[in-house]
Amino acid sequence: MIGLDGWIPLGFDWDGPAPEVDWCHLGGMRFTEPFFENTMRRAMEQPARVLFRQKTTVDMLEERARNHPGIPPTGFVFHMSRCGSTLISQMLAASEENVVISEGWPIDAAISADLRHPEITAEERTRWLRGVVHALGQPRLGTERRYFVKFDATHTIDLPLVRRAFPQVPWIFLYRDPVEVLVSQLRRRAAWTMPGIVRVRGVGLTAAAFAEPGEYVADLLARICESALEAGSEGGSMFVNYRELPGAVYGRLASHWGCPWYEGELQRMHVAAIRDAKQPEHVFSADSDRKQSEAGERVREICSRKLGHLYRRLEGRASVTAR
Amino acid sequence: MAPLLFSGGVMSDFERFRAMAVEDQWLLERLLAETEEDCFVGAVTGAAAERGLVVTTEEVRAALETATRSWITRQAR
Repeated sequence: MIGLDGWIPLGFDWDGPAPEVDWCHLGGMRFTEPFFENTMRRAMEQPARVLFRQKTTVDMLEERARNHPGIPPTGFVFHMSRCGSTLISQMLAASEENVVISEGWPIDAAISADLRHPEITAEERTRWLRGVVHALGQPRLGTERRYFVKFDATHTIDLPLVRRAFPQVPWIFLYRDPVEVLVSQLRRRAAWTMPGIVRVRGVGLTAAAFAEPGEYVADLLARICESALEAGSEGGSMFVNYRELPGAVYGRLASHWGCPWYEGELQRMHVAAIRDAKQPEHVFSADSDRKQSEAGERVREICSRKLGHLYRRLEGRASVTAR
Repeated sequence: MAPLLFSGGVMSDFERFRAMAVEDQWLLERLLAETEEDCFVGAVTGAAAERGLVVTTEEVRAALETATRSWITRQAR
């Protein structure tokens, strides 16, 4: 048996009909950076990690998940982007009791496998997702007891698949006033909002997507919010507005995930909460007012037409799940 | 359990050493300690020689370049 203790999957390589898994030795390194890719870049500063990777079949990933399941997932974070999800993951990662994977590449490789390889079935994606989630949820220091996964914003569309793989794991959907999200995305576009760069399930690519970025991004955000609302009707969910952060992490999210935070953890979370989540060397400053004042009439009209009703439904769901 | 996937063909001394490094936690930890490329290449050739394998600095540099390219490609996906 190949020793994979201390190794994590980096992603899938497709040289044939089934993917191979590219593994990297991480040893005792924790995922502490805002995103999976940031931690991997730090890891790969050591040439041994770059050179001595190993590949296995995807079957071995599944077998390892059965034999070495690691820490069972404690909670999942879904979000509409630019709404505080990285703040939550950074607060959670501040505690050495938590393993936190934030927008992990191999998770996307499993969930989105069919977008590049249409012959891949939902059943295969579900099994591979279980495999990568368990492989990433291995304790790194031996102190970890909980495991959180923050998904890509577009993975919200795949919530039924994630729920099929992990039906017992409580999840949250984080959202924000769509005007503020759209202003942020139009100011600095995420790759998945650029038409043709990343294919997003359920959102068609038309000429208008290139001509009217605001309309296209609003369509994507609408698809994400609709998906969260649909999945939320089946339980296990909690809807959280950006306005409730960071306080909700100490209160209703802790209850939802069944996590009694300890005093030492709370102090570290407080420190993480006052930093800018995506640039931890900077202090966080609230920018809702600035984003609202930046929003032109056109952005407000698009949001009102495409996202206003969804925002109201999210607010309604949040008040229900808060009870 | 499915076997480890090799690049195929007869294994060179370098490939033998690579297989040893991924399976030997102690050896890998020792190589991880080398963060500077020249020192790392020297550590690989030295550790290979200790195991009776002939691995040249050119082979290590070429393999590292290929692995770096694959890492860069993965980041760009």
